[in-house]
Amino acid sequence: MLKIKNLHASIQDEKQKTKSILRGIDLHVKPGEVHAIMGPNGSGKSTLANILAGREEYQITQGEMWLDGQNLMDLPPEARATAGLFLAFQYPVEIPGVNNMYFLKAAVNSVRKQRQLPPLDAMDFLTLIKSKMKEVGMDEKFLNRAVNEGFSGGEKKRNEILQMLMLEPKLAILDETDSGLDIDALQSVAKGVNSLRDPNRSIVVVTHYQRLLSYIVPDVVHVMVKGQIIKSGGKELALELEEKGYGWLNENVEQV
Amino acid sequence: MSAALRMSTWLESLFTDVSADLQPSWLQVFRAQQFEKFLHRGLPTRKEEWWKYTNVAYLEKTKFSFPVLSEITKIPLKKTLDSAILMVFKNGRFSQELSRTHLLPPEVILSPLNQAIITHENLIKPYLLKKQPELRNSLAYLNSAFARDGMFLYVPENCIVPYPIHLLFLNTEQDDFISCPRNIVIVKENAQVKIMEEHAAYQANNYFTNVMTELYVSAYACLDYYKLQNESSTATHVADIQVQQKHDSHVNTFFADYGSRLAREDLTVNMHERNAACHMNGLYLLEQDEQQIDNHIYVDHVATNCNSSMLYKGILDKKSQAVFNGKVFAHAGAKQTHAKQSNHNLLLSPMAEVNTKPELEIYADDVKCTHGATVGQLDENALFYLRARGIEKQEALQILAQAFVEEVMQKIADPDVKKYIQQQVRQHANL
Repeated sequence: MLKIKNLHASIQDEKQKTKSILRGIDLHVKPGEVHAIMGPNGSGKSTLANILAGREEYQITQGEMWLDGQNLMDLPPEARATAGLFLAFQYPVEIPGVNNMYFLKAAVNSVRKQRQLPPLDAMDFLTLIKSKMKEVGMDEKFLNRAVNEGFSGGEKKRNEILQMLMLEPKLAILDETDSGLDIDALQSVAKGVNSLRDPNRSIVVVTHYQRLLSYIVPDVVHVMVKGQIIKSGGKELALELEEKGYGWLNENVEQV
Repeated sequence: MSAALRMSTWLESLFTDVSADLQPSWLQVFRAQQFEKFLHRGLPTRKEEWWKYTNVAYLEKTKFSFPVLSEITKIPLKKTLDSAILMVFKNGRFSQELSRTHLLPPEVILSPLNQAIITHENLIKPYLLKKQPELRNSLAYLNSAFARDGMFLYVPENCIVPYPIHLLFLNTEQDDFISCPRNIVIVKENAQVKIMEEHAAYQANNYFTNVMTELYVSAYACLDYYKLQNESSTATHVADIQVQQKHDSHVNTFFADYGSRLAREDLTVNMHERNAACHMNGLYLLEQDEQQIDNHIYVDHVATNCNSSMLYKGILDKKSQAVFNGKVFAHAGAKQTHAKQSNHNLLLSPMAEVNTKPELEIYADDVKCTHGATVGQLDENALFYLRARGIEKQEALQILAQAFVEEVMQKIADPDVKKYIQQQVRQHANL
């Protein structure tokens, strides 16, 4: 489903200095698999998620990214989305003046258009979205608010999961979706994600903590440090990290 | 040698033309006086503070003529307002066959100005000949000298006009002409009316609209005035709008400007009696290189307990320029004045420029006045967020641009007018 080969990326900081963030990422996520990417702050996890979604401020200096046989490199963000990639944002953006329902409908119909499906009419859309909102435990009043404007942290994350359920992506990337969530919100977010688990769909969970992974159980866990994946393993690796922290892995970094 | 003098040869010949019109002698005298005043003042120059950012000197380079009558027999617009009283002017001249006034209440006088001068001479005369202080905009004098047509509207006491009056100035199938429409609106005590003045073009270029609209609003009366400026992209549009409010009157204005190479809206509101309110809103969308739209507003708070507010929003693309100058003047007697001004701009291009200046000049105690202005860029994070959900860049830009103007669109009270303006905005926010 997702293949990343030797990906290198950098960004220019305020002083126009080039800072290398990803330093040779290799990742292969098969259909149906759930992968977790863990690692300390500043290791490049969120950068990887954003680069996959098509953020333009990063420079990709080397490597390849493929989604289901399609080269992502030359696709603009909207084409990646319609090709089936979904990023649940770490910090969902507030957009004053844009109605949440209008936004969701525009998104769903863009994706449907690309899949050569007719647009959903107002009634069908409303029926569908109301059932999905129930699934993620979101009040219907959020449909008539501006996108994420004045939403609490938990409501924003539920709104992300709602969008994911509506767009039915092939590959969902959750960028620290667990941060700032209380236990109820965490459970409904996890429930939403798990309802999407499917042999033809892959999920990449980017997180600091093991907590979310007790609800969304991964097949593979990767540890990313300083722009490199330095260790991969089964779900037990997450528990080991929770116990020991990341310090014991540092010797691995120096070797590469 | 002043600009006006260099223009004077062809202006004189145009004036000879006007003087030959069938007209009462007082009007002939009035026109001659106004013409003299314009020649004396000349075109506005950038040395005047009120014209600091807008250069109209190029107007002297074109030898404008008066338009010949238009042959057009259909309104070349996609849509007109459904239920409205429609007054159409073709190249500045009233067109009976394109107009539609059957919804007008019988007690209301609605007439093209050149007819009204004859049929309602005694009604109009005091308004045209009233004493007034020196005008800031010298082109208004040229309008007075050259105005041959326009709308005359008289809404008698207690009358409510149930439909908007759509005043449509169509500039068609001609180039290099000057059109000086003059509109006079009198709203008597406790009456209510909505007017939508629209300027549109069809196959016309390099022409010059120099329009003046006077709005006299009596005690307890309500007026909504919508102005839509959708001229050809090569045209020049200069408008002078004068509002006179009596006590307890209520005026809402809305300016939607997207056309013209250069457009200047000069709005003056005089609140000389107590308890008047005026809410002024507007939006401007600039999408071409060298396009300029300038909104100047002057609110004169003379009496107590008057209320004024301004909210103007603009979106600028390419190498365009917008000017906003809103000035509130609160005289010593204008106690309990409430005045609010805000102007917000969204720049889509690094070449676009905004000069914004909300101004307060206060000589009264016990007033509440606020002002604010912003100039910003599109939120890149919001744009990425929309695109990451599959919405194409162009559509995402449109969604964000519309979201930006939504706040001011909400100010349009009439649902049909709102729909009409929204549809035009959509065409123009095609950034």
